[in-house]
Amino acid sequence: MSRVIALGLACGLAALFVLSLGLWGRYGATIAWDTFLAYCL
Amino acid sequence: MSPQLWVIILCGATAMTLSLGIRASFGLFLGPMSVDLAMSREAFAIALAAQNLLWGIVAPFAGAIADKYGPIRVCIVGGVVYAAGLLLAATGASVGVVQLGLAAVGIALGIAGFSVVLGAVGRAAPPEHRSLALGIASAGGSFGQFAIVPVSQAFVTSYGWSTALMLLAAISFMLVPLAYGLGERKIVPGMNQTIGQAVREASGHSGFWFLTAGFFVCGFQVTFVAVHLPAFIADKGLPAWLGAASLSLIGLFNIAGTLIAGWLGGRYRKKYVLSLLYLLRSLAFVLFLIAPVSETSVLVFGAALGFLWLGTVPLTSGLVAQIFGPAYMSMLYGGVFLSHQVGSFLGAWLGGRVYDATGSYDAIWWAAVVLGIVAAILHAPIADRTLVRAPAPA
Repeated sequence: MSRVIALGLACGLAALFVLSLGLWGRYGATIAWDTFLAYCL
Repeated sequence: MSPQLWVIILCGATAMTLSLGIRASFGLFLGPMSVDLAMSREAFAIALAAQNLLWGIVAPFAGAIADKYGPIRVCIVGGVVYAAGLLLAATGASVGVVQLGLAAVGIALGIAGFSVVLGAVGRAAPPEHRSLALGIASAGGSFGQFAIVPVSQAFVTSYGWSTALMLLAAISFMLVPLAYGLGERKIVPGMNQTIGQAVREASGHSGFWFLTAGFFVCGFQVTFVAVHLPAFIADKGLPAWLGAASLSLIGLFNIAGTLIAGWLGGRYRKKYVLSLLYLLRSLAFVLFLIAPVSETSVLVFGAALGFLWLGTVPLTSGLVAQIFGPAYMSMLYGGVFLSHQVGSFLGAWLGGRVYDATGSYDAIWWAAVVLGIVAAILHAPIADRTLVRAPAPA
């Protein structure tokens, strides 16, 4: 059971990584970088 | 490492991904919220400054509760407060309500953030795997800063800021089921101590104060760079995209750097790896300052600094566990982390203050260099042997 949960979590994080790459490509250019940089981190 | 341990590590890493990732998205909301709510940048900045300080102040207390009663209930509360804070901000009822919501997120970060999650991982992992386990869980936070930001931007662009905050609230509520994966309170050596005894023991140990001072430097350096690097680059006449690109590189290389720092901490004495890390940071600052500033130098600096960014987290938390044992790790690491947040506050504020006073960032850059060298020196004499305590009377 633990093995299944661990695999599920790892796959979920990997899927999030792929999704993020796609979303960076799609929405990266729309980010208001000045406010993002000053207030995000 | 056993499958059970992997579940705890991955649940911790995922919790870090969500909590730190959402928190890293708030700057995306300033533009649309300031237009709709007539919210000034100063009002927004005050809320985020309060968020960061509350994060640090709450961490040791939440850590103490997690050490005493286990991480599950604490993380559940953290998830609920996180979601409630975001929902409160999503209402946009007034500027004050938005500020209150963002401040509540700071409290939630203190409850369900690094200290409680790393404490759970540190207690679950055997000493020989602890540093790598802490590295993987910490890298989850680094990953979140890269992964959640475009998701947030997609929400804002598609649905507007209020719905986006509600969707992020729903995502943050995932902290509740993830809390169950952190495991029950595990019986480890040192649990016969009371909280007061653990605090007295740590405060009487020079290593605790060296770690606290070192983590102050970490917070000062990373927040100064994160907040002021883009303006520094713009002042040098370089294109605006370079600021974003350099911080993106920091975010990407940070994931690998944190993992490798955790791995190195398992192979070599953590205090020396920490000293090396702070020295390399200072060296990176010096090379960046004396080399002609160009697009290439900025990108190389971003990559190098990213590699050295949050590697301090698994090493510092690992040293806390190594010296004092994992029993009160959440509380003690929370105390060290408070110093990190004070350093962050000063790095952001003094950067602006010094620039306004002198018209240049030079003084604060060199202060960061000197502080890095001081931190490297401070870590070397840490007595990193595990404390041996007299057995409890029968």
